[in-house]
Amino acid sequence: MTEPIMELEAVSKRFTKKLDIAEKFARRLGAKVEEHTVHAVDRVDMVITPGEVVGLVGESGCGKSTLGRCVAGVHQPSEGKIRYRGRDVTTLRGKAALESRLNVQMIFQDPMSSLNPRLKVSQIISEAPLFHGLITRSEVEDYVAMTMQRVGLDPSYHQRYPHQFSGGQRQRIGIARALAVKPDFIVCDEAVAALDVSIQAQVLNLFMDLREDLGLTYLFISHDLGVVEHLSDRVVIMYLGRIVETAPTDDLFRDPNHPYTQALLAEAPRLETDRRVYAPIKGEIPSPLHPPSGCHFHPRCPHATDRCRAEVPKLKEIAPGRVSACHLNDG
Amino acid sequence: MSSIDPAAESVALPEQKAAKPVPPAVRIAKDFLESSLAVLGLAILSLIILVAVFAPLIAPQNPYDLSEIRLEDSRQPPGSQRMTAPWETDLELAIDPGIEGTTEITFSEDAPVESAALSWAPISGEDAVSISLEFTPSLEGVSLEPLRLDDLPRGSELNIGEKHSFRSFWTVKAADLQNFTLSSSRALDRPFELELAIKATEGEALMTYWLGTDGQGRDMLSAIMYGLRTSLAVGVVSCFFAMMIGLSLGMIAAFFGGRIETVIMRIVDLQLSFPTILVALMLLAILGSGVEKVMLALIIVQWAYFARTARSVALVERGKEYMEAAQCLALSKSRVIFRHLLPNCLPPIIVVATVQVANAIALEATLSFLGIGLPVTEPSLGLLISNGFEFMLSGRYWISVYPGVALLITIIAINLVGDRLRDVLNPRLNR
Repeated sequence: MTEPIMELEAVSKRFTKKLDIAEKFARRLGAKVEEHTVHAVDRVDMVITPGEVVGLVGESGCGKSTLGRCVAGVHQPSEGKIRYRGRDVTTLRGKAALESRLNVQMIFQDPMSSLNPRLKVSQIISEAPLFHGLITRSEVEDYVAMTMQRVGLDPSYHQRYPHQFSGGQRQRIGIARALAVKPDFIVCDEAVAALDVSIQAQVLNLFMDLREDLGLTYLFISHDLGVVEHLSDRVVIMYLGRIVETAPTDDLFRDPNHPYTQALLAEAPRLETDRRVYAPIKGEIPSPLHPPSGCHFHPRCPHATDRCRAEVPKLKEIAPGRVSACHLNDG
Repeated sequence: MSSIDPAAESVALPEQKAAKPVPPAVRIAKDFLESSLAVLGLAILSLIILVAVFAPLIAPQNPYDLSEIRLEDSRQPPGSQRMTAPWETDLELAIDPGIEGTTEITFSEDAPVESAALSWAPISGEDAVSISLEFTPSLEGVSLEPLRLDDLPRGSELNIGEKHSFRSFWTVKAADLQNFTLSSSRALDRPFELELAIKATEGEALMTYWLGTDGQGRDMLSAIMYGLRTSLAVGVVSCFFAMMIGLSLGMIAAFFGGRIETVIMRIVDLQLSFPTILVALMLLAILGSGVEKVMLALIIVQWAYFARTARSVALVERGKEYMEAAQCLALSKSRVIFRHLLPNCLPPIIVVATVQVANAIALEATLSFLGIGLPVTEPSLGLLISNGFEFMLSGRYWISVYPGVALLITIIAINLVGDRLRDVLNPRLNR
């Protein structure tokens, strides 16, 4: 097995709302006021090998975007280690830190807000490479043209502002901006969710072409199972900050193991015209402020037992390359 | 490196539309001009600014030059004229009654007549002289005070005019001077000199006080032009510095958060909880009066508005994904702040700035009105209003009202422009 490009080890990300003066005072007087802490990501382990496309799937609010931002270096994890090519990025300093940060780039969900509306396309694309000295000022024009062509944009549009482009084109600009610093790992955070279906297909194809051309590795975050099935080599399912199942795409879609995965797949809309009765997963996703004890999924799980309420299930290998966190697997 | 054919790819994309690139400035200008009211406001504002900037060139009078101001012109109503000093001269009419004679008298250039011909002839057999004084051109067009003829020889009298009841001079009419007789009860054997005092009732018009004059005899129109200059300068300069301070502190608060933010924003809250006029009054009481001190007070009063707006806008912009993208690209903090955060925070700040300029002008006027702003010798609009206030009840409305109208128009024009800018720069209405 090749050396992993990205390794997460027990990564947690907590968001804490500090008490203000009034609340601190109230607590001193004996009121039951506590700091609100959200466990957005809770002890996640993950290994991604070079050239792989890993789909990260989960409901809204399950922490998948936060995890992606930790990987891309936008957020610092509260705990745990993130290793890029074997080196812990949180402890790197200087040139090595810069290199690892630039090598991991992110593509954002909203093509409207992810581009600075005050900058022209050429400025958006060339800013970071210029800043980091990857190119010189005289090379900007050619470099921008090359990058724009690579993502399927007409280079003659380089003097335009983002608002003059359509959603799909803007997403391409975002991709061009990420590619401009020559990364080898890209985190796509719902990168096609805001686009029309026809445009989605074009952008997804662009991702696949770029992967072949540039040897990119993707962490593809999505709630759209269809997109993930089409794109990913391996799928990671998250629920309320924890990974519940990891499996190669084909295996997962053929034979989901975890009850949550089963429920997700059962509800995915299909093109088949046969009558289907949708049985939605009961209840809402629980608040990450007060996650349920034991297995996070137990209040909504049809198979929940007392053990599920008390004990946190561990991720266990159920087949080669497949892990799942469910007590039912213990027999 | 790439194996895909980029040309084919870009041609195959139906999403790309062929719109001409329009820079945001042009788009904003176009949107702005759609509202006729805002255009009117902009036109008035431009006019006001031009007047203020070029006041020394176009104002009929320099109201700060005390030598140009005449106290006797004080409190003149609108439309009255400034006159030169009336023409006045004393003529010595030297006459030798023994012989017949003629003398030519010439006048200085500013006189309404050029010359006068004096001729006399003794009347034989009597102690009398027939005298004639003719002006070229004649004095008919000039309105004169009654002419006085003095220094008549002892015991003599004239056949025209009237002698003063107890003093020595005679009051005569100009028309009668063409031919009159001086007769005496004594022998007229020695030469004598008559003295003719001529005084015009009014001088020439130098300028018209279109808006009247104030208590010091200052032309109101000029005073308003110069006052606008002071008011606008104070408003714009103080607003600019307040904006610089407020913008930096607001953005620092939003960008760094935590304790820095708390400290800055609590100071802002504290500042905003006091009435602005009270704070300005206290500051001026401590600092003393003067243009720069008024500006300082206005800056201290106003920066908090900018800080609050800047922070709220910066918080919104900071949450947007392009800021995360900049972080992802490992750009430096200063670059992120100045190149990404600042330009996107500017539109609402510009709107606040226009409104705050109007507020600053009004506040400065208030302070001057209360008598603690600018010195009396260099009045701003507020001081002009204040100066005229004491004359309001005596019906001399123009001293207060016209500066007030000028202030009103200025503030309304600025607000019209500011309102439209807010609409145009609002990103929710656009894009």
